[in-house]
Amino acid sequence: MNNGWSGAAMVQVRREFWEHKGLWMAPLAGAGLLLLGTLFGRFRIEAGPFQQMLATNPNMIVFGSAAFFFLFIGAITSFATWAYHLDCLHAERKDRSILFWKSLPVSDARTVLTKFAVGLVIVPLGAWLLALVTHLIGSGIIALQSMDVGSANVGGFFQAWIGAQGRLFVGLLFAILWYAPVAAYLMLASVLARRAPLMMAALPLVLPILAEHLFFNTNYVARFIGYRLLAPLDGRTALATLGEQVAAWLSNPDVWLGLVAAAGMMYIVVRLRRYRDDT
Amino acid sequence: MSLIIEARGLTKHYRNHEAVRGIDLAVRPGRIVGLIGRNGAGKTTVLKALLGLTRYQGQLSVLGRDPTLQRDELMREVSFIADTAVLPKWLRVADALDYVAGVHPSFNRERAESFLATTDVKKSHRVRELSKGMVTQLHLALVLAIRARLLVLDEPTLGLDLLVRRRFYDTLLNDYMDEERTILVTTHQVEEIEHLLTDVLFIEQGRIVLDSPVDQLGERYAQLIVRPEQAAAARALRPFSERNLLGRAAFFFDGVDRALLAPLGEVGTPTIADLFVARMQQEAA
Repeated sequence: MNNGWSGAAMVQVRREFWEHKGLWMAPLAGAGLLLLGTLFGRFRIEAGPFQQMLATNPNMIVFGSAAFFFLFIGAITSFATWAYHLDCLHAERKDRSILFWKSLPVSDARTVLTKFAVGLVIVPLGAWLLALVTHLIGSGIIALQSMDVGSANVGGFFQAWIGAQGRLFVGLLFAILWYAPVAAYLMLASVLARRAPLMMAALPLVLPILAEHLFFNTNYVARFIGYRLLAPLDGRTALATLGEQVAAWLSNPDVWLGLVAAAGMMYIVVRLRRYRDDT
Repeated sequence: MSLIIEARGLTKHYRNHEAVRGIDLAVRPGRIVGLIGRNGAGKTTVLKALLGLTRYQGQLSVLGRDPTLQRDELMREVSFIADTAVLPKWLRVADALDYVAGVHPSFNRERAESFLATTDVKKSHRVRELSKGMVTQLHLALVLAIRARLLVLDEPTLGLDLLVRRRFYDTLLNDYMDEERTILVTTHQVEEIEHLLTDVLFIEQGRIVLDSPVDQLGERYAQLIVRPEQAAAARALRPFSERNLLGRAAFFFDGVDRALLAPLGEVGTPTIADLFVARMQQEAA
């Protein structure tokens, strides 16, 4: 049986979901919670200022609620993908299955890049799609609960909804670029750790923070880490037009520096896995 | 005929000891080679070097390739079974078949499935639900269905019961082996595989201390079993090792003419297990 490159890539991605169930269970759990919340929270669009706002500025309401769904599912998914990147290269040594994976003609670069892409790109894209569907269902539930479907501005809603989802998608692409070095760092900890990858990841961050605080009474390291972890949530640009927002992101050198750092770390991860065995 | 494995001066240092000390190897196609040594003798290190899993010094070529530089190409034609515990517990049998079929260009899925059909392993099982013997059968099914030229086995039957061990080796001989294929197997349970081997390599403290085709062992080595009254005469012929049997003694000779031995007692070819023990005692002396 001869499979092309794509067949092999597909089964390698599937393999990650077999082993790390959190990758699909976490986003689904988030979506389930949101739908339960909308069902039993008995949200209603009452007559009044809110109704008026929906009529005059549906974009704001639709974007706000879509962003909430996206961020809620996204946050839960992030925990799962970060735990995944931290575990993926350590688990195969812990259970000695690395000797099985390495008995097959799959290069270390392919293995490592597949795991990188699954956690950084594939699962987040899936979570965005899930958030989109969940938001559509949630909006339908709220509209039905308001028993005012007849007067609802369905056309306006969809226009606003497509705009909101497009904007969130662009935001997601930015987040993928921004978090690439974080994912690479976690994989580096995973491939290096003999026992506890979490310690391996945390100590090189926590120790300099403590030392800096102790000796210089400053907190540049902590601020740097906080900036890398939380910058995509900075709301200041959220109200700008999409074009302005993208321009602001792309002209930020930290995006590109982060990508260079990610590439460097991934190179090291591939080299390290090359001679890692079950010891 | 081109060699399957060729090594010159293969050496591996770990931080505080030298695991492999300048080994030379030449393995021809169609052979079943036993790499036999005690725990810690360097067997697994040699295998890891052959499979490109560890760095080494010296020259090494496997199927004409450099295992460190051309590992991915090499693994298309080399299969490897470490002891049975390396299949991940979460893996479903059907998924294992999907995975290997997806990534291995010469995997024959029907072959793996028809072998599994003769066992108790079901496609819906997860590895954690299988007994050790069943896991071995699953691993064997995957490997038998790959058209590999070299199969490397590292203590493949460790911890398995006798029935499963015997079936494992019978399957290898009947369903896998042909004149194109080569097997390299390490074990310290010599008795079990001695009738299968075409070649033996004894390894001790990182050195090859014996490298011989099995059918030539008798030309070089002899075993002489004598009554106690002949022991002194036997000892005078300078055996390299001896062993007390019930009321008799066995002496092992290297390169001594059998005609000289025959008058003293019963002459034969030592088993690989006896030879191994004798050589190890000689090394220790």
